[in-house]
Amino acid sequence: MKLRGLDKLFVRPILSTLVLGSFSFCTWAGPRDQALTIHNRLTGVPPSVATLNQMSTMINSGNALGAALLALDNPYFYNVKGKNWIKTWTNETRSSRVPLNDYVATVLGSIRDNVPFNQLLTEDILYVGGSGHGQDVRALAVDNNEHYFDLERRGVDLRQFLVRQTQSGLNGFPAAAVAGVITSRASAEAFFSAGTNRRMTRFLFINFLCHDFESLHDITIPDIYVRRDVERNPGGDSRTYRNSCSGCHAGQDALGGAWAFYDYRDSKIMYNNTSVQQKINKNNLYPGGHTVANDSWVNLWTVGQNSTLGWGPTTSGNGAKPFGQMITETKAYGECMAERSFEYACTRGPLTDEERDQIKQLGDEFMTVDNYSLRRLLAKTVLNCMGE
Amino acid sequence: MNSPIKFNKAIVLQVVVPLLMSLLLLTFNHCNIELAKQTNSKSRKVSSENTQALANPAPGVSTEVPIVEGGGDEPDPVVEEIVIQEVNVGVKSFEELNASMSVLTGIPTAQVENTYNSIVTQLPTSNDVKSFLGVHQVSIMKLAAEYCHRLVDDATQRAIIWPTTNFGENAVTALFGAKRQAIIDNAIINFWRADNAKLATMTMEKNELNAMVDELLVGMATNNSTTTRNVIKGMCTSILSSSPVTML
Repeated sequence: MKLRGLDKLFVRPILSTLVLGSFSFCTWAGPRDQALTIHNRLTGVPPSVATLNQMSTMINSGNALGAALLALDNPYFYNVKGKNWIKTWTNETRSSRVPLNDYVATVLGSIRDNVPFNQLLTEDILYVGGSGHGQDVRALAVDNNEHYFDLERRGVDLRQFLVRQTQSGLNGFPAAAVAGVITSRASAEAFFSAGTNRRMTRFLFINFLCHDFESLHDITIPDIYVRRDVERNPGGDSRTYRNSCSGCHAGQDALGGAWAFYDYRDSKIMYNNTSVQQKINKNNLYPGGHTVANDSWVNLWTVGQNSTLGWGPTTSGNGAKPFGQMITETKAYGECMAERSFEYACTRGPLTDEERDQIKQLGDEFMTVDNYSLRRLLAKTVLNCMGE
Repeated sequence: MNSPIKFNKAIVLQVVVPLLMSLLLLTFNHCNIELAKQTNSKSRKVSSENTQALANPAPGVSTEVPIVEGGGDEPDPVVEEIVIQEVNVGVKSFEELNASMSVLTGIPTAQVENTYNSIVTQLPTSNDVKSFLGVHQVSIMKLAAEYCHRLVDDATQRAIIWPTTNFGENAVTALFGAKRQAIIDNAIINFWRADNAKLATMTMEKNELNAMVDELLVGMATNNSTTTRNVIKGMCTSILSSSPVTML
């Protein structure tokens, strides 16, 4: 049967595409192809011919790292691939199909400006769209995301027009209450809205330590900080609490005081430095449980099985800022950022022991040699999978 | 009378008990044999996977992997192929595909916004090639077709991709001989970022595209330039939606 007209013009190319795809890709090799791979994997788009030639020359002369850093200058890293990567950190479903927000913009701005990535969870920092882009972008506001929505919708060059400001200048919080992207509006919407703020702890561990609570489950530590809203005999059996519930709650509720003063209401982040948010101590199922009285917290996971995360000197404090500091001091933070970078640049997780060792080394260098530069970490990581 | 009965009982016990014990042991032996077979088979498969994983090693990783002894079956070639793809490649996600096609054709994303918005949910979400589906490829084709349509109808942009092609020429002239080859070569050079050295090695790809153009021309009027542009759109769509563009 012969195909006619548009049917033919459409169906035949599909078949040809499948054939072309089957033998075209994997046969390429050499500096030019390595440059193409590096650029595609870092930015999501192929380079211009001029950039490709420049990167090929750099790789040929032994400067593959320089070629990768050059690729990271491409606006598409900020407007496409890097943006969609960071978006998955900003919502519960870990979806990249969400609008640009202040969390993502702040991370992208920090990468562009080489802001040490440990400051990302501690500093009074916020990136917003600057002026001069000529697009119709609504003004920044504390109670909506329209400014960032428009920046993305209008295709504003984020590499060029992101400008560093402070969160405290926008929402009037004391600088001590601001902790980088933790206290961004998008983060608050995702992790402080409703509930009891435990989500914030969990997703900080997932995003920046690469550990969910299941892997931290430890029933050997004291449960003195487990709050009143946790049943001590779920289903009428206290063994369930002892052997299951307390394994996560003992550790996370001891840390949860850090978020006692925060909430997300009326589409904006709320902070009250004089009293604990009402929702924190709601649902009194066990009157003998812990009542949160202030924003102090302590890390009980520094001993026992979870000591392997390699905690730093900060293991207790008040509020979000020292909590962020504790996360970024952890050895697991560097390794997690290296692992995330590996997945980003290589499109898969590590497969071999050698690759896992490389990730550990990259994480160590990220924290000790490269001054927490995620930009350099990405550039170094992609060299592990640019092809032979 | 009683003695033979007692004797018979003892005989029965002496015969039946060992028999039952033997059956019992045989049963356990049988299980162990089966388990051993399963274990070996699994080890071979794991070994096979490990071998494939290291067939594409990171720099400094040895390709030599010791094979687990004891397995009799040959590795499953289908398993090997899947693992190779899993290790080597990723697939571009929705926005990366849109941006890539825009960069390669020079057509701004705003010009294909309606088409893109209508299919964006059918384009891949992640770079994980394991989640790549047939519907993704069809949607990629649709997006590529839209970009190629815009490109071929844009005199300025098409002159950048195909500087020697006369799009107003009849198909019988424009799509045969050296002119057709120039169209194919220029598309490969621009969309796949191949240099001349690489292009010279792409005999199979060029043959396939030639065959496609031949087939597209069957039954089409070759005495007009509309056919010329339509066939180039089809060939452009094929190259723009192929793996060198869509995969990482």
